[in-house]
Parts: sequence; C-alpha cells; structure tokens
Amino acid sequence: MIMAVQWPLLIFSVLLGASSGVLVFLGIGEVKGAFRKVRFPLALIALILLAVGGCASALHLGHIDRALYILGNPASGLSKELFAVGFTGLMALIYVILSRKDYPGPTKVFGILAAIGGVVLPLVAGASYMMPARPAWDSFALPLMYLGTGLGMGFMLAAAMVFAKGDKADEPFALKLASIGIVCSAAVMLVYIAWIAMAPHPDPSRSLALLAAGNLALPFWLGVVLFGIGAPIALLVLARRSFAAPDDDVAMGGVDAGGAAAAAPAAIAKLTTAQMLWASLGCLIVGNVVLRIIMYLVATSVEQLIY
Amino acid sequence: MTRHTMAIDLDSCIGCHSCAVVCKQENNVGLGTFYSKVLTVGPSGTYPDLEMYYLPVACQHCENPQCVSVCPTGASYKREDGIVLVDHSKCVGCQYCVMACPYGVRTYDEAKDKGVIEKCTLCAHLVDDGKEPACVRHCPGQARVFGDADDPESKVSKLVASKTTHKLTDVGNKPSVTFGLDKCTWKGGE
Ligand code: SF4
Ligand code: SF4
Repeated sequence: MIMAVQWPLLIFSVLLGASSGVLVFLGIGEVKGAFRKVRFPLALIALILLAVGGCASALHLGHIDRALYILGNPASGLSKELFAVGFTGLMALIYVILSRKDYPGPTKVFGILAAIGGVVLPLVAGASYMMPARPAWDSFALPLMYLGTGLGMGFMLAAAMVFAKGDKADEPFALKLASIGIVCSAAVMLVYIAWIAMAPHPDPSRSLALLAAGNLALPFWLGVVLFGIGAPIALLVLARRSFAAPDDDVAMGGVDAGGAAAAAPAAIAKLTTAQMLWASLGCLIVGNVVLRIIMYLVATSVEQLIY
Repeated sequence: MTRHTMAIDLDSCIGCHSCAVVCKQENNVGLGTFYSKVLTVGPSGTYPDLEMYYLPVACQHCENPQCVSVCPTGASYKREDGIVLVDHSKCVGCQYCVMACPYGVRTYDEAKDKGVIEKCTLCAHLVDDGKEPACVRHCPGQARVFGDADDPESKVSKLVASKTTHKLTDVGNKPSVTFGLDKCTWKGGE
C-alpha cells in the first residue's frame, strides 16, 4: 500500500524551509551589513512561518495533549527536530526584537545564531525521515533537499521583499543571493530525484520510471520540473535582465512579443523585477509542495505486509 | 538472556487464518485493524510444477527495532525478554514508528484506543502469565511455536535447528521471527 501524503508534515516542511532560508539570508545580511530596512519584517515573517508550520505539524499527532512527550527520547529524529525548532524559533524571536531597534552587536550575534538554526533545522528535519525501511528516504539527499529548497524559497522571498520595501543599494546583493538560492534548490531537487532512482531494494513503486512515465509523471514533469525548477529559474533570469535594463521593455531579451504564443511571455516581460521574484517564489512553492507529495508517494517500505 | 520469539513452520501452515482470527479475539483488535495476517505466496512456477505457501505475518519483534529507535517519546520499547511493545499512555500518535517499520505491521488506531499505535504484542499478557501467545495455542497445523531463542532446548530453537530457515528482509532491524520452509522455494527477501 502507498503511504498517504502526510499533509501537516508536508506543510510544516515547506514553511520551515522558507523560514530557514529567510533566516540564512538575514544572517548573511548581518555579516555583510546589508538589508537593514527589511530585516525586521523579514525576521517576523520567518518567525510566523515557523510558528504556523509548527502548529500544522502538531495536527499530525494523534494526541496533541502529549506533544511535549516528544522530548522523551533525545536520540530520536523527532526529538532532535523539536529541539532544533525550539532553538531556531527562540533565536529568531530574539532577533526580531533586537532588529526592531539598533543594538549593533547583539543584533548581529542573534542574526547569525538564527541563521545557524536556519541551516541546522532543515537538515535535522529531513534527517528524521532517513529510515532503512523506506529506501526512497534513506539518504542524506533528503535532508539536503530540505536545506537547498529552503534556501531557494527563503532567499527568493527575502529578495522579493528587498525589491518591494528595501534599500535600493541592497538590491544587487539580494538578487545575487536569490540566484544562489535557486541554483541550490534546483541542484538538490535533482540530487533527490537521482536518489529515488538509485535507492537500494529497487521496486516499481519507487522508481524513476514511475516519475518519468508512470502514475506520477504529471506531478513530476509539471510540478517538479516545470514549477519547481524551470519556471522559477526562467523568472529569475528575466528579473535579472529587467533589473539590468529597467526601462527597457525587452526583458525577454530579444523575444518578439508577437503572436498568441508570445502573449504570456510578453505579459511577464511587463512585470517589475519584484513581481517577477514573487512569481518565481510562487512557482517554487508549488514545486516544493509537489516534490514532497512525490516524496511521500514513493516512500513504500521494503516489505509491505499488513498495511 | 531470554529472547522470547516465535518460529513458524511454513510447511505445516495450512492457511486457515485461525491465528489471525484468534489474535483479534484475544487482543480485542478493532474492525479493520490487524495485528496478524496470513498471506498467500504464489502460486509460482510453470504448470505442472507449481508451488505455493502461506506466510503468517505480524510484528517480527526485531532485535534492533527501528520502531523503537525513532519513537520520540519512548512509548515504543523493547522489553528485557525481547518483546517489543507500545505503551499507549505515552504514545503521541506521531506515526514515525509506522514509517520506520519495514513490514507495515503497525497501525494507527482509529477505533479502540484512539490516536495511538497498535501492533502484535506477542501476547505479552499471556506470556507473563506463563502461557503461550494465542495464535500459537490455537494453530491447528501446529505450525507456530513460541519460546526463548537463546535456550537450545526451547521449541523455537529446535524448530530452527530442524529446518531450512528464512527471515523477512533485514534492513538492519534484525527480525527475530524465523520461518522454516523446506517444501517450497522461499520467495521473500532475506
Ligand atoms: S517488525 Fe516492525 S513493529 Fe515489529 S519490532 Fe520490527 S520494526 Fe518494530
Ligand atoms: S506513534 Fe507513538 S509509538 Fe509510534 S513513534 Fe510516535 S509516539 Fe512512538
């Protein structure tokens, strides 16, 4: 039997990824002395995303009343995850408070600590799924996918905010980080898909054939390849072009806006850089949700006997 | 050290499903929920050389149970005597153990004890009373035996010594239940 998609956990993983990415973005900003104008709203967004994700994940439990029992076996992946959420959440909260005013030293320290949480949390969260019973999950490619896709979403969100509300001087650096994030995101998605193809105990229920041409072909090609990788990269490239030549209506770089097929690209070309970044973020979110749906659907165990 | 477990002589199993039924009765297992089931393996081969056997499955009371190592609350635990159990009063219903078990023998209880995980207990309540698990006692083929795998004189050790033995696919969990099968070709992973 195929595992049901665990929606509360799925939502949690997407939100914690985006939140972590934003925290890492801000941490880099603290080191470089950038993003002063947007750091408070962005840190607050990161904190809210983490809190909402945490609440969503609690819905997965059969007994929410016993949620704190989760700290009972510190060696287990889930206990570690709760510790990591607690640490990151606390650092982000302190950073939110400090970033409201200017306390240069402490703000920087907690910005960096929150960013460390932003790196560690997705890794710990992803690692909790590494179980030999489910070959499609049992690889470091999975926590890496959580981290990399988080950087993709978080950096894109933060860069879009810099363009919408930030300092003009920060824009080139934000765009650079968004580019790095999307490269990381695409790379880890591909690595994770490669793992599904290579995982031990091969079975049709968790194979590349299932993704490429089987039951999961539509979500794979449309959701992961197009929305998760192709479209956000294309939108970011357009954003970079429109940023380089703002008043030029040729963000499409030579694509002639004629004919029905070109109508959509032409419309995209009219968007502002910030709008392109938001659109890219939207695609990334769709891609990430679909990739995680696939992650659950290919997580068949080595020998499914009763259930 | 005592290592309570089970050995099943598949050559003697007649596929009557009595074990699955008596398990539900003994453990008051809810509708749609199973601690134990009997699978039909095959028929395989080409006519007239066909073969088929029955495979009774339940928790394998693993020596290195992954369900226990992932359990964040300690609700899933392994007793000194090797039996793997779930303490319902500690279970938060996170279902990580369900994901970590390689065999799909655990289930989230929607009926009896809502919001926690259930599975075969090797009838620990009977074992503690000096009795055998219900499925062993009621098996008409006498295919199932229960005992201490560390005691060479136990029924389990004797069955294991007398047959070609197999285990379910081991991904590091070391399943403790042994299957004896001489008359057919084992079709499972090892
Ligand atoms: S068979 Fe599954 S539930 Fe039973 S002890 Fe092994 S891992 Fe745990
Ligand atoms: S569902 Fe219960 S027994 Fe299973 S891992 Fe979670 S707390 Fe432990």
